[in-house]
Amino acid sequence: MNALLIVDDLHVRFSGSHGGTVHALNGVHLHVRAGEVLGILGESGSGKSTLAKSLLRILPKNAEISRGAMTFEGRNLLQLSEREMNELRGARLAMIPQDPGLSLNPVMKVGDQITEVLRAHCNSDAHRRRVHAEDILQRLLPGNAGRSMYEAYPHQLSGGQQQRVVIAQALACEPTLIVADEPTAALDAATEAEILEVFRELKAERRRSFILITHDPTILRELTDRVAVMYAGRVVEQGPTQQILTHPRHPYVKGLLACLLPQDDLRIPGRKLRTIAGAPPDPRGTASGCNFFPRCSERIERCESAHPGTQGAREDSQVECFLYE
Amino acid sequence: MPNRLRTVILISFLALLHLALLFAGFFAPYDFAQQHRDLPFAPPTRLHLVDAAGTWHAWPFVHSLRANVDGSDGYTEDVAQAYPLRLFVRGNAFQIVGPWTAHVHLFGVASPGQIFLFGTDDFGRDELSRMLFGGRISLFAGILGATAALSVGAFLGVLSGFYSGWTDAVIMRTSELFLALPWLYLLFAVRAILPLRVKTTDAFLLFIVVVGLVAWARPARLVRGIVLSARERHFALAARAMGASNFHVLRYHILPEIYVLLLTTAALLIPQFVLAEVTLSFLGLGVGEPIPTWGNLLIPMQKYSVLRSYWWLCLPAFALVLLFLAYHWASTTLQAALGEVRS
Repeated sequence: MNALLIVDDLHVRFSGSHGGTVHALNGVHLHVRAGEVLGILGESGSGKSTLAKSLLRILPKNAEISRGAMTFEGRNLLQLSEREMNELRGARLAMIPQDPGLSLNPVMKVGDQITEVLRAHCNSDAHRRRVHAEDILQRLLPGNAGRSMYEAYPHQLSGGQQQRVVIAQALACEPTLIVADEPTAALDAATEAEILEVFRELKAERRRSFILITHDPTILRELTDRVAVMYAGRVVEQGPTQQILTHPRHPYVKGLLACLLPQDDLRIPGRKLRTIAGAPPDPRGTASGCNFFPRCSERIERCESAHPGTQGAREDSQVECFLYE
Repeated sequence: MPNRLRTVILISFLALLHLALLFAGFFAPYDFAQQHRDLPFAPPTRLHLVDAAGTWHAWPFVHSLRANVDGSDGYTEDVAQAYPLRLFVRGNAFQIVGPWTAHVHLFGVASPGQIFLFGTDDFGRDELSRMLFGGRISLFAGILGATAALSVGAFLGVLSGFYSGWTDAVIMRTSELFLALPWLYLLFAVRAILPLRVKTTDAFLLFIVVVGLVAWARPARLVRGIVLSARERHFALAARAMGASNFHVLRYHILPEIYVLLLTTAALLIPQFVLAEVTLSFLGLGVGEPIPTWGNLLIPMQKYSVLRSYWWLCLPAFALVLLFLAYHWASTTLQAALGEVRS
């Protein structure tokens, strides 16, 4: 498999202040090919952001990557020194953080915050850095707004503009992989559409790979090539976007997609939305069986005692469920 | 905007005060040690615009003083002689910085006239000149003490907040130890083990070193708190995700957060340290005669006769109050600005 990034059996745990250990990731397997957009879908607490931070190794101090490997461009990220990792971050492997308003330094001009990335990784002079930063802003913004935005401070920008600045930071050094952690979570619907358009254009270029993290299945259809669905720190199902969205196999994914509101539902007054009964498991415990077992509508006896592992692996798609043995 | 106006007034006042004290030699008409033996306890010289004949003058002038002829305490003005006030007059040489000396004073009167705007002390030394020279020592002891305390405090606070773990634990426990020390008494204790007479510069340096070594604890804890919260800000994490080194994150994303805090703390610490120097010198443990400080200028006030008869010798106390009020005002203004930055 000619993959840019391979995550193999990744385990991450957080040691709580009161002795409890939170198992955030419990064996994540996934891969991203060059030029591909992988969507990661999951509800809050399923480990999406932990996965993103693990990839860049910017987890908080109380987190520990206890098992697994992350191979990026042929190198195991877990074996790199902090210095080697710093050369990679922002240059080859970049991140678009969740909340652009909080992720920009309020007392620095946005242009300087873009050239900051260039300064850390490229040895060009100040003038060239500035031209480069302006070019990127220009590309991401309609009209002639890019040049004037260089001198602006983050609070002078709208949420959508801030998000574009953050995207510009990530693009600045032409990384091969960009991890976008819920890039539209903090935006209103209209701005979200604009930002998704930016992603659509970036995807069309096929010059870099994306990991697009989201809890909203609707934005996956157009923007991603493949989807990995996470539940309780594991990837329960992954495969081509079209296949996952139209023919999900894992009971959790089926349930999740059934929660969506189809267009015609709006015309039937009083119709109730479907939900998945129960709540995600407490990440402090370790279940011996399938994590989804208590909520599963299709459970069988074995699910309680044994974990299915990867089953039903077809070409390019996997599911962790005994039903597909 | 009245708020802005107030700030402008405050800043100009503080700037003027600091300039006057820094260039005391220029603003003071006499040297701080120059004695006028025939004029002890002379009251403040009065500036006149109307002469004995009742004629108005456009420019103020002074009369010289003579001891009362009837032998009673005090002086009378010799109205026969008038000495107009002059600006930029040549007078005693004074040091500006290091080897550079100058002769020009802001104001003065032609000899043999004399001008003591704040009166003279028991040796006939000009009180105004002594206040300006003395303020220079007191104020700059405060400023340098605060600079020392804040530099040490900021350095250790940043170290503590940024690296956390055992570095943090060691620095914070040490700071608690120093917080528990009453530093004014520590200053007394250190002063007590030294010989009674020390050179002025030594006394001055000793003060700054002791203050810097002891008073860093509180600013260090404040800085640590800010660094701890700044470190967790999303933009600091984002910078790390872009490949910024620890130093870069510290320099560009965390340090800017502590500047206003340092300014506010400085405005609080400076008067505190001025007061410490004043206390030491007032008790005769700091800088000694003939060099004036606002502390030893207050020594005559220990005498009832001075309080009763020579009110102008209390002026250094008012100067202190004025300085404290200005600094207090400055710190409140800065605090408000800090609040605005925060929200």
